[in-house]
Amino acid sequence: MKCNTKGLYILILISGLYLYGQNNSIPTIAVLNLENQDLSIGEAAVMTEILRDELLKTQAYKIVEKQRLNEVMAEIGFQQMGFTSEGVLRLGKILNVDKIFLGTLGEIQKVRFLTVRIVDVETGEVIASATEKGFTVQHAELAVTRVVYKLQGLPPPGGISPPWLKEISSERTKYLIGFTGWNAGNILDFHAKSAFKNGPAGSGIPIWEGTAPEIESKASFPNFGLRLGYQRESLGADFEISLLSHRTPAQMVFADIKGHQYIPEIDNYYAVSVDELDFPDNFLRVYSLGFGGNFYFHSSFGTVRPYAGFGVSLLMNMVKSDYPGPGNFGIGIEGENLNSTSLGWEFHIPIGLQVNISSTKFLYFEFRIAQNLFDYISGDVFQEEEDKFTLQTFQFLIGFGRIFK
Amino acid sequence: MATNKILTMVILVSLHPVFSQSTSSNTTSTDTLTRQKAFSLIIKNTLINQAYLSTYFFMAGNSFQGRALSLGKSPTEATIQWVSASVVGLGLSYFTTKTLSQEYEDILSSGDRNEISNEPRYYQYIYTGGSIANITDFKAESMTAGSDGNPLWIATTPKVKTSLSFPSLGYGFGVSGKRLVREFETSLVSHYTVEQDVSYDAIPIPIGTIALPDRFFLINSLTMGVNVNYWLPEIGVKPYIGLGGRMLINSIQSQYPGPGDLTQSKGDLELDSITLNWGFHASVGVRSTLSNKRFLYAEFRPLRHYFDYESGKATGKEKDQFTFEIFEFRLGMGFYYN
Repeated sequence: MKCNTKGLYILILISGLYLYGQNNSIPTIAVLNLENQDLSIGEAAVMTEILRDELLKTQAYKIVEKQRLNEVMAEIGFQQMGFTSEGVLRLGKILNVDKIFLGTLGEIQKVRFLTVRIVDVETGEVIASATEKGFTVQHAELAVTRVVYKLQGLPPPGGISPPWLKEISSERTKYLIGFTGWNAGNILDFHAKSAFKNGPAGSGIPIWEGTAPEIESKASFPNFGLRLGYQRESLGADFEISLLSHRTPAQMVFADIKGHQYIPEIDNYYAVSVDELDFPDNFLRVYSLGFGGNFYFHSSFGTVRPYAGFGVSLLMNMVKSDYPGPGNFGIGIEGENLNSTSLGWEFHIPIGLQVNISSTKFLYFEFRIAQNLFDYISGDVFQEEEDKFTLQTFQFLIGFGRIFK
Repeated sequence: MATNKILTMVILVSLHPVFSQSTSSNTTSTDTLTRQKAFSLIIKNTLINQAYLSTYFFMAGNSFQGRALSLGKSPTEATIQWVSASVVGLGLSYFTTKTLSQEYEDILSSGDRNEISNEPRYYQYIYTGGSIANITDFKAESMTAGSDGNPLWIATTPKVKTSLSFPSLGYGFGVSGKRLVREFETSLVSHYTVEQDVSYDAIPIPIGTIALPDRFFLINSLTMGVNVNYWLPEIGVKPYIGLGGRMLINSIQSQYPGPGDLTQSKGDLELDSITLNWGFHASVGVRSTLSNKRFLYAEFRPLRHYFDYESGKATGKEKDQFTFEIFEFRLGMGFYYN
């Protein structure tokens, strides 16, 4: 028991000596007020206090009391000397400290910077420095903590992406794009049927019906449009107004029209069957004014931002012709010229690039596959018909964008 | 039909003083009024005024138009009489609302001065505009049943051409927040059918045609509804997109009994129908600020109004329904209260 007690005393003594030695090896430091650049003096003073507090928490330093520091600084006229290396070294020696912490808190183009460096009083060398930037007032304490960790060579809390960087990247950017472009496309799945459904074929069945799998068409003029929207870290959405116009060139169209034609003069029907249509030039002229939205994913590679997504638009469709309608033309019926306005839909898949040319301007390039759905009434009097088709276009768009901050 | 009209008017006239009293008593206490509460009071008063004045004059306009047609005056002259009465009603309703807005400002000036925020902004607006419109999916069915219990006949026509009697007019008031705008709107929309041959598909009769004379139908609607708009990013002007729904008081008048009977009446109004229905729309527009108190706006609006009424006489009585598809372009001006 006695032996054990003696052993315990020795252990305590050794531990005490070790701890004493440890305590003695803790360097004494002075933390100077952060130099203020374009920010308020109060803000710099508060940040200095936070820095002192964070350094104390590490238990790696003994800090000279602020009042003593101020007295010595006043005594040697430190303010007049400024933050020169001579002044810092003299101050350090008078205070009898090992290291001096000094730094700057400033702002450049609304971005905050905090830089802290450690000067060895013995050698006059800067032995460590660390910087944080882009933090907000709400994250001031964390910014100081991160600086202190970096000065000690430790990984800072929050890793390489502190919360303020996430907030910046998730901020919405507003933009406006004006675009134009050319497109190639065709009319697909043309379907026409008589609006009258009580003929020889039976009740509820159109008296004639016709289809054409494909009708060649060309852009009448370049598409135009405006896009206005928001962009976040990896998602974007915008509102779009666009105008697209196509016309059919002269062509032979394969069609399949079958049924009956009503002859009012004799109040009777006769059978019709057409398998080819000889469309004159500009037989159909179609216009789509679209109001819709785009949703896309994007990522950033330097100044280039590729994206892909999808879009939907509500269309005000106009279809014009010097003939009453495609079905009427097919079975040789004359009537009032077609001039129809109707609602339709557009679905498209945009794939593109935005190339920044300055902080507020960018160029816009897009390839877009679009399907405009048309559904309207054509024909005249006894020969009114319901037409439907899809205008499928492959659009190459180029535009200019402006970012609003 | 006329009984319904009178009944509606009597109910509205009776309700007006009741509501007015109940709301005006609230406005006397200004101690705890906030901007929002004050505006709620204004909305209540305005709604009552709009419902009362607009409806009253709309109906009066219909009576004038009907009387003019009965007296053998031209449909154009009859329409002018309708327009005059309806515009007077709309104008009175608008100016009453404007007076109420002055009351609102007075309430605010005596209310809580701690409310320094300018959001949301309350405003009033007026607009006019043109439109392209067509009757689509017209369906008429006989109200007389056949031996099998089904209507004696059913006729449909896909499209009937119409033209604008006069530019659409309207006014409303709204609350504009950071993201959303909510508006209550009253408007007048008036069209007529142009001279045309309309063919129809009928059961059991086969295809037929009607040569409709000019202004066969005079179609007027008083609409009251709600718009909800979403602000898009501001770019000097404030663009928005929106949706809306509305209750319609639809009036159809004609010198003819109905599409199924083209016997023109020389000394009487043969079709005079007022029915309630509904409609909806999408909208896209921009608002431009003129000053702290005023703004201009331009809007494109595709609308669908539904009609459902009875026409014809005796065994020729029929039930008609159609959709009125309208593409409206409007220009308006707004006035902020705060």
